[in-house]
Amino acid sequence: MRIRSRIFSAVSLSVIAILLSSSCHEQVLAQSQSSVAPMMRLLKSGRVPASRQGTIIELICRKGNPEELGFIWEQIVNDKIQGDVKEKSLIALKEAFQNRKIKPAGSLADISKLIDAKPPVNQIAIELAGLWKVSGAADKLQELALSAKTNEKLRTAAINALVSIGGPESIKAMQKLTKENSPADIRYLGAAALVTLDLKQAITAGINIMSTAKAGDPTPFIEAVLDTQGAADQLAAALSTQQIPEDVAKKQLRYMYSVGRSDKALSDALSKAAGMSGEDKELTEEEFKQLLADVIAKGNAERGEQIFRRADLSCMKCHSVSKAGGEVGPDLSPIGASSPVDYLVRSILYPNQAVKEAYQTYVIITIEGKIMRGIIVDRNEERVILKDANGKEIVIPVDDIDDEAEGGSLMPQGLTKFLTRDELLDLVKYLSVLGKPGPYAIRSRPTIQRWLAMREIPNLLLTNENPDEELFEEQILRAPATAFVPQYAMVAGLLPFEELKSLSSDSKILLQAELDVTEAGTVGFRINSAQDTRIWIDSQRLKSQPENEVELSKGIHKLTLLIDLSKRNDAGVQAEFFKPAGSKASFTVVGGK
Amino acid sequence: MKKSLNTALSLLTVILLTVSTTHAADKQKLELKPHDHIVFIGNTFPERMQDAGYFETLLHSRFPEKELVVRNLGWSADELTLRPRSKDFQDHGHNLEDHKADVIIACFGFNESFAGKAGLSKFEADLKNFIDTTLAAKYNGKSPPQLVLFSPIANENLNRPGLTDGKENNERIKLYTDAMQKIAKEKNVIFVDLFTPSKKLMESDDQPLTFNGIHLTDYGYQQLAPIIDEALFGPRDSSGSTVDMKKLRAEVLEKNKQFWYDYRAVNGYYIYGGRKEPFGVVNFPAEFAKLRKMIANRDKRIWAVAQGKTVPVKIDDSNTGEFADIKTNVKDPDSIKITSPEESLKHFELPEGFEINLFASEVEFPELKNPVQFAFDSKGRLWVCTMASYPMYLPGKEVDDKILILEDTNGDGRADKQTVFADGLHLPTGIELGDGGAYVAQQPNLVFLKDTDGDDHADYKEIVLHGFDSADSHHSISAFTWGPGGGLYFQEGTFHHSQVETPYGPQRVMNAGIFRYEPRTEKTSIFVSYSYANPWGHVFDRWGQNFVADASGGANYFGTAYSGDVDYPRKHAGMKHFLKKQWRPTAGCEFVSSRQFPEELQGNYLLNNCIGFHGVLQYKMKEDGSGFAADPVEPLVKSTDTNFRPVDLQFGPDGALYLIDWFNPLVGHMQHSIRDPNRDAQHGRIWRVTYSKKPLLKDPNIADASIPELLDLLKTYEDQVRYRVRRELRVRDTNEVIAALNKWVAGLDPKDENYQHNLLEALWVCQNLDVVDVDFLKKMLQSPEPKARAAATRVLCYWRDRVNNSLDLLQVQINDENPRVRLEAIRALSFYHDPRALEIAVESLIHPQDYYLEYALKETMDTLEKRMEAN
Repeated sequence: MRIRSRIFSAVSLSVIAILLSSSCHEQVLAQSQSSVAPMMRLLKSGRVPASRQGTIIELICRKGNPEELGFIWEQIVNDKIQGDVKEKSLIALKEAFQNRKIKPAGSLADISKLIDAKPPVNQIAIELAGLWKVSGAADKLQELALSAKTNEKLRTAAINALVSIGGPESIKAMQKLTKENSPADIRYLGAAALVTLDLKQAITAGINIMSTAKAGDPTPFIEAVLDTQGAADQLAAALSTQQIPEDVAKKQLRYMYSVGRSDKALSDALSKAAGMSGEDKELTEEEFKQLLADVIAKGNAERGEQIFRRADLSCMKCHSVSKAGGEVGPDLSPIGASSPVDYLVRSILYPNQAVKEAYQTYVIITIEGKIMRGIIVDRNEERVILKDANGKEIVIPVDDIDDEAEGGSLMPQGLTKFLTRDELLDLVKYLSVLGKPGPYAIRSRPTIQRWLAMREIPNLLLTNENPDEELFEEQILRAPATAFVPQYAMVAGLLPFEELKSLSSDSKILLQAELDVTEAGTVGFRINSAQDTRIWIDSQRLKSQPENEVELSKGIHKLTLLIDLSKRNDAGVQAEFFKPAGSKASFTVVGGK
Repeated sequence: MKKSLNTALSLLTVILLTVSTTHAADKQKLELKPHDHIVFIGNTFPERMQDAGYFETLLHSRFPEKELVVRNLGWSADELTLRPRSKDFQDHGHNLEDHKADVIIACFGFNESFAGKAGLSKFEADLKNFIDTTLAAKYNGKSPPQLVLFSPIANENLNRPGLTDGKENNERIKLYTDAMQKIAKEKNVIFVDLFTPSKKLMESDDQPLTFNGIHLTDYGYQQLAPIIDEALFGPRDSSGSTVDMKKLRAEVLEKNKQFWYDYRAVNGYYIYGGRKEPFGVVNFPAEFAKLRKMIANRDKRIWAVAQGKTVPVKIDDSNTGEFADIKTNVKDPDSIKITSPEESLKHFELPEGFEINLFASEVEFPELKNPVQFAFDSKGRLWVCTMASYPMYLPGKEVDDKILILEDTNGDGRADKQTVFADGLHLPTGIELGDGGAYVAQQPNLVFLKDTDGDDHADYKEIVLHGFDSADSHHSISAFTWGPGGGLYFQEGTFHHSQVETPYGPQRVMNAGIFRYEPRTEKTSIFVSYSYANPWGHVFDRWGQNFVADASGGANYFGTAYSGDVDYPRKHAGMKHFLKKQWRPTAGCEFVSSRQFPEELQGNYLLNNCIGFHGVLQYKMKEDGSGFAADPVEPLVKSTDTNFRPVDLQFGPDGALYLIDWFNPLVGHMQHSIRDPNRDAQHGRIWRVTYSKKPLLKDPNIADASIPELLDLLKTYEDQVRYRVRRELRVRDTNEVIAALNKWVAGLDPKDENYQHNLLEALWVCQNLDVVDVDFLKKMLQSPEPKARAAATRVLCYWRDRVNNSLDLLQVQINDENPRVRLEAIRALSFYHDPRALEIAVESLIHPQDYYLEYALKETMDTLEKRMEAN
């Protein structure tokens, strides 16, 4: 990849160079004398009550030198800091390293003790062990990484920590993970970890897993490859002589596009393996004009909406319509009203030509050869925070940056490979009517556009007609966010049952929606059909009828529907809240991701 | 006795030195060759020179046969080594190579001089380097240029209260002038000392030469021109010259005007910058080819007039080529449907009890085209700026944007009278009234327009501030508003690199920010440096807290937390929004403060939205620790007419809400060609929203009110009345106002529930008039009302240079029991250079924290640390 820094004009570039040159390490240390000193004095003075020490510790860690951080570390390991403040302090130490590569002076061996602590302290401790490269913690980390009992989050953290600590022992541990007796998901994690430790081995292992594993999510491996400079080309070269299954290749290709990458060699190799045509040809002026004419003459918005919702295109991963959907790219609800067809086509085919202010991406290459791509959320003299296509924030210390450049739009180039020409016409047609008066106009009625479907419906509901309120609260209302998958209604408000079938167990589906009530009062709820449907507002069961009214206090309320699909012949569920006559209530339906 | 003799002697030495250096310069005069290209570079001094044209006129009249080409590349606040420009400006065709410079006249040193003695050695090194690199280049392709250095002019003492007398500035300028002279001699380049003769002129002339102490007026340039002329070329022999100097100057100014449209073309981002694809590359090459031929035509007319020939009155530009034929990219003709005002009216939906009516439209007032911002004057009349020239000047087509005064003389809620206050403007993206005239955006400048003879038509114009970038004309300075303390605020969007020259040093910001300008003191500062897209809304609440609406992303911010000081080029870190975005893009925000509206709506935050959702969104405000949050409630206005584009909103004197409707089927600045024929420039509407169940308010006659009457009006409930009253008090006699104010304060009833607010208004009047009353301020800093203490802390921030021991006062505020007072104190501390400020800021950690307090503390600490590091 050739990087040309075009961020600033020639003149201002020199200005920036002068300004940046003044932030070298000596000065970082020198400055802490003047800024952290008063905070250290205040902390030691005892004037700050224990419960309020979180902020001051966070600020000390933001600027402090190793000795000052060492003081905080001592307080933590000697249990002088407790509870929330302890957690906050550990996070602050982690950020000190992420942003400035500063760690506490003195022995860090006690981190092993914290790895045994309860969540969330153990998780942060694992991360710290990796960042600080505490080799004494390696045994414990290997144990966690290899144990079948470790949960997914902790395992990933342990693997990352081992990658960071490195060394032959870590490589051996990761090799163990890639062995065929492990579950496929874990094998991919192992191969991903190896990308940093030993690229050659990683590629051999990765291709082996891709060709032999029957299931599992292969994307962590491709993610690691894409994040490492030069790795994509090596994988492409390896793929020219070795076979991987078509559907795995497709998955990898989709992932690659969805994070806005289109590295040619790898994209070609994966396209070939996936049995898709490799070349992206730019349209001629004539072809472009014809395409526009065909969109208007032949495009069908209804079909286009179906295409937009297709999972393999990932449109809704980043974009929302009617406030439901991803929040990485612009909300597209009014897009047809503000953007002409040629602009839309260009944005899909050549996303890098015109990028809205807030969606310009940057590519950052670190000294260690890591490639990061995303929108800059924030930057200062110490670090840059990028938000990638998955909405994940990545912190990169400025000292670690080798090169950076504008990276065009986060909108993936090459998406159209997954589309026939007719499908492209329909998709553009759909976008071109969004926000225009008619069926795709902006909705200001409080319909439910974003639903959360529960992955596994608790037995409690399947076996009891009227479950206990407290248990309902515990198992449904307080279930973790990961227990749900978002489902987005179509612009007109219908959530098709067809798309939910894969989620249903016993032909039942559980859907949840959230309502933010800003003024208490009576709120109405209306549903297209209440057949075979149980309805709750919070833990209060409502009558199974199309319209209900209920008194709601200020705050967030949850609506839960349990629908038995076996006898339902209609297309889907459509629901909205309303304000009954005379009600003083004021509310909004929660949308988003 | 001895002392004065010494002084006299040293004075004499200075004079002798001056004389002798003049002699030295005599040896080295500027020798011009025929057809030489003379290029000015440097700061605001040359930039303003092009509007005066006096020196250039003298130049052509002295050398009529040489047919000189003069190009002025002066740029507000440029320094030798700091000349920030928007992206890819170097591709626009205005490098020294592009202008084939034979002679370069460099005017630097003024902005650099603020670094004082400490910065002198760097300046000297930079200057030597600049001379060496300039003389090593062959900009004309053949030979190195002749280089001339101009020193800065002196700072004039205008004896204006609040404005610097320039003494310290002059000491520094003298230091830098001497250094320039020394180095010029060393390097054998021509040097012109403008400091000494300009100082002499300023001290001897009855009339002021500058309007702000540092920038020459037209008259000032006229006086200085012969001095420059003689310094460069020696005494002038004008015997036998028949040149019509007035005519010649007119030709020079016409050429300069067209050159300005080229060099400082607005929308550079679409011409050569990051958004030139896919449309700009189609239309702009032909436009600039034409414009450059037009400029060449004007050079020829200048030479002809200088040579005593006559030129046709009408300039012949028939040889300048054609524009590219631009077709619309709107493929769906149904989407371009102009609705009449009657039709548009039917598309509105409002909550029960509300009504909307047309106040004015292009039908009754054909000049109401593309209205963009408005303001009410002391007579209750509505002033609106129009932008028919949007998106920008088309070469050869004179711009004629206007400021219209619209009046409803019979009280039927519709305008029936129009007066044109100003015309011939180019893209007035913002307007605010005050100080007897109007402050108007004329990107890249801020101009002050005034009517001096009572016909309501502006006959006085001064560019008061320069250097607001115009790389994207729809991101340029806009959303003008007065703060309660008399600062004028306006804001710009991303892509811009702005730099403003002030008597207190240059102010710079890149990629968006809010400016604050105090006309009385001529202080300009960056109020907020933040990575906005294009902020188009800014409003202050009853207690002086401010809120900012960013258009493109639909973000809304609480202003106190992120308006602390940062040093260029640093920007404030990303901050949370105080309300959850519903729609975007927005344009303008306002608080409900009108007894004409229902009680339960009072204090709600209103926000215009103009794509997708067309109307006025409404939010209910609530306290959130040291800051605020807001929840959405039912929108106030909603239209299904997609041409309806509300871009500004304000409560009027009758208590109704007025909305400006840009009215356009196309609004995307980057989604269509700048020249898309479907961009509408013929329409514009103003709508008026009233509540049918309550009476209209009576407009107090602010223009004719006596000072005591005005002060009593500060007790009025409506924000818009107190806003206009404070503005009116600024143009009344300061001494009389202060005398009356003291009486008014003494007579206030302490039992009145609004007592503390009334006192705060009085403090704000002092701030407006720049009368620093420390005792009164101290009293307000300890007001029993925390909101007043917070507001007084903000006043202290802006008076800090004139209040003794101001840090002690802030140390009290930082330990206040109220979080917002502490927040204001943390903010204020960021403006200091004293390490103690950091110690005090840290004390805030003893108290409970919240998001905004933590955010502001981090920002203040970063600013103060970097200053300590630099020392």
